[in-house]
Amino acid sequence: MVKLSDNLLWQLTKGSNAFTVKAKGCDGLTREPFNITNEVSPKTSGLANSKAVGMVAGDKPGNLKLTLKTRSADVKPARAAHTAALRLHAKGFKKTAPTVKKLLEENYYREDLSALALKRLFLNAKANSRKAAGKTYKAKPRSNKA
Amino acid sequence: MTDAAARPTVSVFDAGEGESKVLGNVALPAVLTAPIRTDVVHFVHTNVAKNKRQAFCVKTDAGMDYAAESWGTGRAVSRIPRVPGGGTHRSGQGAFGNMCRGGRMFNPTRIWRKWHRRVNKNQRRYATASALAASAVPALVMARGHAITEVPEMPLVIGGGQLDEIKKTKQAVELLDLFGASADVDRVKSSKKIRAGKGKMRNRRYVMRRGPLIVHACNSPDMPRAFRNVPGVQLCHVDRLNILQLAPGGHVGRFVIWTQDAFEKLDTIFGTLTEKSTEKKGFSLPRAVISNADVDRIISSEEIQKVIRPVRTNLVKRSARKKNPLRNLGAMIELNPYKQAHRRAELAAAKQRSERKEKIKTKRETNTKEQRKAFYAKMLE
Repeated sequence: MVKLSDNLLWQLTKGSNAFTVKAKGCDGLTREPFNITNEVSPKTSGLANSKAVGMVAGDKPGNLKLTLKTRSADVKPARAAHTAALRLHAKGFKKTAPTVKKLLEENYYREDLSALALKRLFLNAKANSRKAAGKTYKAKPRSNKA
Repeated sequence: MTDAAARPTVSVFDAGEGESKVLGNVALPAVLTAPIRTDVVHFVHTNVAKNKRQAFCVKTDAGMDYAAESWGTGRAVSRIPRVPGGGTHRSGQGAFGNMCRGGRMFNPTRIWRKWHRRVNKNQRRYATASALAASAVPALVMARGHAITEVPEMPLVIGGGQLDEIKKTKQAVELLDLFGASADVDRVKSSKKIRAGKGKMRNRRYVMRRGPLIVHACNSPDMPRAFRNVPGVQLCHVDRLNILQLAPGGHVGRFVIWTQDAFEKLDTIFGTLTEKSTEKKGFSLPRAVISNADVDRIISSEEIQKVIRPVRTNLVKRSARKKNPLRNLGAMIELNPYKQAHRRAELAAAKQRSERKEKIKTKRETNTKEQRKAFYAKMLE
């Protein structure tokens, strides 16, 4: 029920946080719920923003869900997320992008995250299409043995 | 402005029904709005955590219980004290030094080491208040690592008659599940590992995370007994709140589950901003240095925006290169404004001069010897 300002929350969580990834090579990344880029930054932080956006896997493989932090998130953790389903697998990037754009630029209004969200959506779509096309990664032979 | 109007309300859930049934609303206790001073909590925690230590040391005279004496110089051996006597391997061997076999260690650990720390009472109370306030903020509880995404409300207050009837751990587990706390308990269960280090052979074999802290005001041991065997769960009586439990590891944001009795007692224990505490003598709630810490909001508020001057965009001076006034007219004019008028006069004079020259030239060209002769010849016709 206590509403701390975004500023204050950032100061409290930026230093130590259970969500920060400690693996080497993952410097500055987090597993926070409402973080669209999964970066440790005040702009995208899921904990330190009263309005925050995240993207998670949807019900079917290839689908995504855009999660928006609700106004009651600082009181009711069970009702913290408002999800918008993105049927990327069925519809592709072109058709799901307008949903994201509209939500972030008009309804929910975090237009500074709109481009980031669309980028994430696009990369997911690209990865999905590769999987669908059956493309597999072949390891390049890097030694004399090959 | 009354306290209740100023402070938001917290729902009290029925222990039997879960989040679907709200028994009532309680005004948020003032402690939970105390400033969250992680530096104070950290300081108090590190010191209070030293109070449960047990002393250790080596034996008082370990390595020194010999009549060893140095042989001095001249005997082709090092000057370390040596064990006297004969008839045994030990005689003539080095003694006392930390480098010697069987000698005393460097700086033997002593029993009179300062094991415990005293912390000022008010500091301890401040830390408790901060830790409690942090436990009411879902973001901080999540940042500490608790799995609370299924908890209906924070702070979580549970009431109702069913709570007093919990005697079996099975019922306790059901209750936790009902309020979305089983995710945190599961997290603790799956984190159980054998401790790294010698502690594993010193009766501290397993380590696991901390789960929910249940703060109650029970006088009977029944409820605590039911909950205590659930992995990760700890219990605390509201009269005896412990910073080591509220901020494990010095990190604020423990997931706390309150019973209604305990929650309602907080205002009397810690007092409010208008009333002093009845339980803690001479204690009044800590106040923040700045009452409204939302600086962004203050700056973008109507009252301030009305009064501030508009944004200046061209503050940065772009030219970093010095312009020579003797070559660059603009630079010269900056230093000597008259230069502009002077230059204009110069240009006007130059123009005049060239016009006059043109005139003379045309005059000369139209007044050549041939032209004059031709004119004279024409005249004679």
